[in-house]
Amino acid sequence: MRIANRLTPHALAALVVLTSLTGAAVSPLTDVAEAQQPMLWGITWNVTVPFGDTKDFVDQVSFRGIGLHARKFTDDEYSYGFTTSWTVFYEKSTDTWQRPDADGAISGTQLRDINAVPIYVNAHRYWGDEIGFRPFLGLNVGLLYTHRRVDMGMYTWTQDKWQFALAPDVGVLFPYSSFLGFAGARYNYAFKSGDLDAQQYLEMYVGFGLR
Amino acid sequence: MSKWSRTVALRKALPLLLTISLGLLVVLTACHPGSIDSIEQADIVVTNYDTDAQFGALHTYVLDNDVHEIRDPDSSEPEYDGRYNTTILGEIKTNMDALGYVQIDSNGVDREDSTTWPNMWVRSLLVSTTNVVLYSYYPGYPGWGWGWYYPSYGTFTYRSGSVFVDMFDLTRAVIVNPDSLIAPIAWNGILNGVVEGSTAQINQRIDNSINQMFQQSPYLGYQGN
Repeated sequence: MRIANRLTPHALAALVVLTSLTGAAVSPLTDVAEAQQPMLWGITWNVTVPFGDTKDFVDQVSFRGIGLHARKFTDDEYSYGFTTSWTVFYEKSTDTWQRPDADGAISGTQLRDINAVPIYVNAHRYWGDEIGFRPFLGLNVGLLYTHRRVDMGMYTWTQDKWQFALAPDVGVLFPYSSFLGFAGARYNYAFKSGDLDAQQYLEMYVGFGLR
Repeated sequence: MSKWSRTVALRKALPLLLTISLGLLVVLTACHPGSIDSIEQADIVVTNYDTDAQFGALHTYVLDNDVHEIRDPDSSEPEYDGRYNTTILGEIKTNMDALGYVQIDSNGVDREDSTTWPNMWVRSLLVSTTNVVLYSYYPGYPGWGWGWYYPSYGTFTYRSGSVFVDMFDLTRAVIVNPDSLIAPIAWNGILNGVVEGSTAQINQRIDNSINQMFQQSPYLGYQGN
């Protein structure tokens, strides 16, 4: 965990890229060799709505999100896998802020952002025909890394935290040319950790995958 | 698996690999997407107050008629020449008067005479610092191949400064000796920003910020006996 706490968003991105490149290179081989147990690799664009303490910190919908999904089917109806995403919330405001540390106030232009990177393992249940529209329901379990930052004047405050998180999600797979369309919504809930309250946000994603 | 099958599989994965790399590159650059658009947006105003102070009962004040510079005695930088005094002192008086506080002339103040002894003493301080930033960067690689470079270095300087406005509550002062007393600070305001631009521009920013100090302090104001 000490090592994990030192991971900056850029280091996390490098880790995710390395994992994705490795898996994406291996999966078609796996797919060809094990046709009875197909594997799905997907990439999605995520739009994310903050709630709770996340919304208190940055009250803006994020359109800066990318998700990576890997699912291995055990049969026609179930899969297990891995998913991660990277969402950036950002807000610029000029509010006057009552100081929580003293009797007084502070005002100025604030630049606030949150970089959120959940890393989950998951399981999903599917309905429908294998080659048609396939609604699914699933549960993700894992960790959420949150990097929060406030820039105000010539000063910067940052906070980094790992939290245990759960995320149910619902969506649909649909055929699209030689690819597989991918759309859904996932509600992320990360439990309070240290001085960071519970974080929660809803990711809505759309993209495509290879199988 | 045959070599041909492996090649086909890798070709299928190529669009996904490129998309993943491109997408992550886009997101990486959006890690901290915001920035300020002007020097004014780097200004911050902080106010603090003593919850024991009875701001509604305080009525009279003396305004120190100079803005005092805080500086290192050994500093080689030129001394502050008073170019912002008119703005600082003028805006403080304007706001204090608007709150119903009455200014008393500092000449002739007598601690033994309640008609000339004020409830508050308002003082202004100023400090500025020259900041030197050393940064490193890597120049572009030559087009004909990979290599490694020692980083190049550059520097730039900028001045930052702060203006402090302190309001001493003389009604709760402790007499130390006939020539001195200790009084608590009932309220203070701090302006901090980058000292860049013309004198007129900086004066305007000081004007706006001192007004903001009083606007974000709604507990100030004389309310009668």
